[in-house]
Amino acid sequence: MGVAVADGEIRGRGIGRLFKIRLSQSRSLKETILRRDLPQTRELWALRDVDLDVHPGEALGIVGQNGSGKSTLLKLIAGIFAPSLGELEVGGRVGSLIEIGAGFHPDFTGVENVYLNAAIYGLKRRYVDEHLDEIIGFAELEDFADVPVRTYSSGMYMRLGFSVAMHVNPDVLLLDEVLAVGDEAFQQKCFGRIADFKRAGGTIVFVSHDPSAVERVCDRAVLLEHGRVVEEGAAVEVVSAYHRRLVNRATDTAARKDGAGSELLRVHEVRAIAGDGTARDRVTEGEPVTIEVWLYAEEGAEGARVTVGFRDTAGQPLGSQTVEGVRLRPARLELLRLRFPGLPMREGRFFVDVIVNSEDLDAELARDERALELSVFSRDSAGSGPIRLGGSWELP
Amino acid sequence: MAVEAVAPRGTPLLPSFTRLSGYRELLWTLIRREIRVRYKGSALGLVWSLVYPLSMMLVYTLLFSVLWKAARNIPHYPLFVLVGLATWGFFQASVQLGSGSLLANADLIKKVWFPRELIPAASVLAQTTSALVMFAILIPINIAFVPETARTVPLVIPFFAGLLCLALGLAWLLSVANVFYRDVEHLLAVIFLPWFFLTPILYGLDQLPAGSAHPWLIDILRYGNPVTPYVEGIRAVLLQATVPGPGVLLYIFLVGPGLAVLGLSVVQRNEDSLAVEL
Repeated sequence: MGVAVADGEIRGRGIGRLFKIRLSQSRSLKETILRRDLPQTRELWALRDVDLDVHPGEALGIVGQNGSGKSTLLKLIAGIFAPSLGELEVGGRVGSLIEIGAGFHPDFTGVENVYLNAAIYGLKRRYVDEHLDEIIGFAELEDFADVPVRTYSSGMYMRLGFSVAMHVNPDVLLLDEVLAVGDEAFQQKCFGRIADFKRAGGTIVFVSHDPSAVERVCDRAVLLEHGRVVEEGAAVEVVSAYHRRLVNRATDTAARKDGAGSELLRVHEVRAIAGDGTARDRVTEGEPVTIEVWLYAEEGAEGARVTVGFRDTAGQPLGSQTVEGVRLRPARLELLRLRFPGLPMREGRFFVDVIVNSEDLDAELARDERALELSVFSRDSAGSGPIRLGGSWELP
Repeated sequence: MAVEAVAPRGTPLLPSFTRLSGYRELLWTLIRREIRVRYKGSALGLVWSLVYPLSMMLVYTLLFSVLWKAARNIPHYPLFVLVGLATWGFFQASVQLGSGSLLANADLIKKVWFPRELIPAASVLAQTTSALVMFAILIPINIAFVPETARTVPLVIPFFAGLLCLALGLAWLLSVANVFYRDVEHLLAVIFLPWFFLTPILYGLDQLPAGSAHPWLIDILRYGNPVTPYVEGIRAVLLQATVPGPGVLLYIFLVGPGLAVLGLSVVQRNEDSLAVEL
């Protein structure tokens, strides 16, 4: 074992984490016994040779694309996984906001869930007794404290979860993509609270694929790629290195022409840009959203028809919108934007499909189904169902 | 595609108890949650958990004692059955609910670290509430009908503690198995019915008419089934005012706690894989 670390300090040396991926899906005892063959496995290093030094009071950002090992690293620090190689030491109490509201019981009231959640974080009942009003107050749920949380909107759920987690007073706070939800005002409050925590000497490790949030919260950052640290330094510099790499990759993949579509035209990327200008996959009900569609046509295209469609998780089409006469210049990434002042969705998970047809509809030039997964969180509990009605009441 | 953990550094064979310090609060909260969910917050819920063994006791008494006369050589047959049903009911419910508990709380386990053994433990411990109420009702009735048992009754406590250990151990082992093989829970549901009939709940192993002709068979039923010594032990001190022989005593105080230690160590050793497999 290495040298002891101070509270709030994280020290990792040569951390590696190996997973075995089973190629067959057998998870039943019956099948395992009957088939008697060992499932084929493939080894995957989710992390390799990662060194980590975070000092008390410092905020470290971890950026990287999906599958780069960000979440694995966070779970190692949280103690949920152990490293397969190397040494990792974390000083003091770790509070993780890896999933807000993990462990809420739908039939329990807000207050009861505060106690349950606090106990999971290792808090004493007496401590919660003293801080209960503060927790409920921070979440702005005074009027809903004694109502079962199943009646809460997803936004209220998040607020309560965040509020409990922020009152854990850990030495090390782990944040994972959690700040991209809730309304703008509450987000500001969360950032404020996180800043207070940092000023008071707390250590933060923040994982996000929203680089602007990393710049905002963190002093230092590391960029992970395929489980290795490829950049390390001031947050601003690492984030811009991340952007540079993304652009380089974009031209690489464009040259390889292996995206969704034909040899001649493909959907390079589909993103949702929220009201604050960040690319996100979670938005709040009624928030302005722009769907960005990046297309690449090797030889260009004249008069293409581009359709953006929404589906629910069951695959049912909810609606689509088509634009005609799109001109794409040859061998360039071209950007189309579809703006919504507010999506007509209230709550749920949705998929975005993008289809490109030729002018006369004779040929489908490209199709990218489920190009984007978008979660919409409701603003309040004054409604239900996936559709946002948006009506206004007139009372007698 | 399923992902599997690659075991990190070796963990000691014996389970760690020190890591549980500071988590008493969580255990209590989880137990309370379990009880709340089970009884839906109503006193009637607890009553229901007592109605079932009582009504089954009436049915079995009617069938085996009044009509069939198969149990005529068992004194106080209704009490005899009720003690058996209370004991078995606790064992089955806690093992069955405990074995599904890790999977049912997958969200929690993937997201936050806390000693995972607390989840099956809370499931099992929550079951003791209805067992405790059952025995609290049973024991006075019992002393009224069989007064001489008053001096052996206190032994129910250590015997029940032994059974609790056995249930905990099995719940820990099976809850881990259930994460790796999702059909363990269903398999268990199938096994419990024959297991019930092979455990001397409705009958006594010593009162079986052809028992003396097959002594080895009786031995297998007695020692091959880990629940049997507990049922017989609890019955002996509650109904017969006798203390079981050293063999049974040794069994009661070795097998249950031994299995609990084994189960706890299996949960702790598989902690890493649990978070990956769930």
